[in-house]
Order: sequence, then C-alpha cells, then structure tokens
Amino acid sequence: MTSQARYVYAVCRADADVPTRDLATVGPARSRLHKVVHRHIAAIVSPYDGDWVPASRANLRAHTAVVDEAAARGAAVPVRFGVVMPDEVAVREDLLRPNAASLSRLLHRFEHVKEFRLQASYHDDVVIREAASADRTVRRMLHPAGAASRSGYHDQIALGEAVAAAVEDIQRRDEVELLRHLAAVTEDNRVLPVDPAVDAFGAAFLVADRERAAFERTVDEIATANAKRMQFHLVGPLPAWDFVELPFASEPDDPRALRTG
Amino acid sequence: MPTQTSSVSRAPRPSSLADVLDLILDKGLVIDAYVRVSALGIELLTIDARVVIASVDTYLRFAEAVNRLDLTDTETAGIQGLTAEIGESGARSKVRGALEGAKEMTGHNGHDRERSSAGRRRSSDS
Repeated sequence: MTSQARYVYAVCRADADVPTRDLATVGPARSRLHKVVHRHIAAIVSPYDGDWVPASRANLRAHTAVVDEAAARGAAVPVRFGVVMPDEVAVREDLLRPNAASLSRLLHRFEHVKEFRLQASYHDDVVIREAASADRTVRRMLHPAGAASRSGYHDQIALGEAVAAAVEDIQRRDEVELLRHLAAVTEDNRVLPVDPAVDAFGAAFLVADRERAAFERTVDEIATANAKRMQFHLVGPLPAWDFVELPFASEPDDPRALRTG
Repeated sequence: MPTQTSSVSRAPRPSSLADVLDLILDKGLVIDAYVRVSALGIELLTIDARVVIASVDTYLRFAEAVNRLDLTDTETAGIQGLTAEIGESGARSKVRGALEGAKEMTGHNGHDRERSSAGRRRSSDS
C-alpha cells in the first residue's frame, strides 16, 4: 500500500472541524489529519503508509484520541480500529457515498448526545449471601444441619451450580431495576456482557447533553441506595461506540458492506 | 440538597487495556474488506477479558463461599428496596415524573440487547 492510502478514524459532518490539536496519528510517522468530504458528510482520515496496522499501544491510543476529539467537537460515528482504504476515492466511493443516508441518520442521532458506560460489581459475599438467603434450592442444600458442608465433591459442585443460578436470578432482577431507573434520563441503552462470577451489571447508555446532570444524579442515587451491596463505576462521556448501527449498504460480500460490532 | 455519600467511581476514559480494546476493536463502524489490523495476541486478550465460561472452579468457589457464610445475619433487602430508599432522599417524585414523561422513550430501551451467550451459559447448565 502506498502513501495514497488513508487510515479512517470516524465519520462526521462535512462542516465539522477536523481535530487540529496536536494529536498523534496512527502509523509510524505523524501525519496530517484531514477530511474526505462527500456532500454533507466526511470521513476523518490520515495518510497511512504500510500494509498492516499493528495494534500497538501507540496506535490504539492515537485512534482513540482522534475519535474522542472528533466526538467532543460534534456528532461523530466512530470507526473501528484498523480500517485502511487504498485512496481517497475509495473512502468517498466505498464508505461515504453508498452509506450517506444511513450515516447522516446516525450523525443526526449522535448530535448532542454522549455514551456513558456504567458497571457495577457486588461487594464480597453480598450476592452469595442474598442467594443463600432467598433461593429455596440453595437453602434446602445448605440445611438441615449443614449437610452440604459435609458432603462430597459432586455435592459441592451441585451446591455451587445452585448458588450460581440464584446469583444469576439476582443479577437479572438488578439489571431490570437499574435499566428501569435510568430509562427516564437516557436515550437508549445496550446491556454489556459481564463476568457473572463477580460483576452485577454492565450497560452503555446514550445520554443527551441536557440530561447529563440528571443522569449522573440518578446514578449517584442508585449507588447510594445500593451502597451496602454494590459499587459502581461510570466511564464517560465517550463517543457513541456501542450505538453504531447501520443497515448494510450492499451485499455482505461486497467490499462496501459496512457492519457494526 | 444534602451531599450524598456515593459509591460511584468515575473516569472519563476506560482505564484498563481490555476495556479500551473492547471499544475500539469490537465496536464502531467497520468495512470488512479494508480492515488491516495486525494484532498478534490481541484476540486472545479480548476473549479472556470478555467471555467467562462457568466452570467447575467457579461452582466450587461459590460452594466454598456459601458454606463459610454466617447466614444468621443475612440481609435480603436487595435492590428491591431501591425505590423506597431513593424516595426517602426526596427523589422519588422526580424520578416517577421523569419516568412518566419518558414512556414513549422506554419502548426502545433494552431492545437489541447485547448478551454474551457464554455469560448466560450457566443457566442452561444448571
């Protein structure tokens, strides 16, 4: 691939400012960020010289920083790490033109909103205690007279399975409640996979800028009400990584076909 | 409004490499034919970070944990008590009003859920 190639970071409005801060670009040498415009939309790109994009720390950081900066300046559709197109014609003809309508709709949706990721984990033993207390199967296995603690390997596995199932029920109920409480102050959500052994909850939320204070206040209220059983971690504002959804522009085997995570 | 003690930790950006990778290698727009990632080891790392398969070890750990609990002081309030507690902080009416105002919006909330099949595998195993 020659230096005609373009590394793609994000799609934005044609009149958006290109991040001009002194940002590093993806690739071995610092290059110039610029836009490739098609009508009302544009791709933020930089020249790229190389056949492959190493997922190095520097490259990952550069990609993230440019997308962050683009989203901080206005609506931006993040592009996944590692997309290199052979030239600006390809950016225009294979990315922007065939998907212009869908991309414009996404940009409209991302106007004045940001993503936040909320994760919660249970304090040690709290959820185990709740499971043991509330689940009939677990209680039966534990009692009477500590039968489970005296039993063998396979009984312990069965007990652990019953606890795991009860924990999952609790996680599911917590998830429903958390989503219900946050629905009023969020535009949309995506439940994220969690580690069922330790995590309580994980979700990405699309939050309007005007609702941000109310959203954070609601998260605080939820965390305060659950302080004895959960701790919460809130990350953001982020570009709307989890909400990039587009219809296919063409057949999946067509190079112009876009897909999302 | 009185200051509330909150157990929310905040960060403007993901702090762990796994979380960064989860975003930029797994989300966002991608044009299949033009992906040029050279990522030796990355795939394994992301799989390790994101997929947890219920295992015998997990079950044994749960069993060990439940066996050593003193269940006499078990608390069962759970998140069901959340509404009441928020109500006590004076936010109940505000939340309810906001919920009513957002009925139309809640229709799409929770749809298109991303769910790790592995993350729920345990329920079918049990």
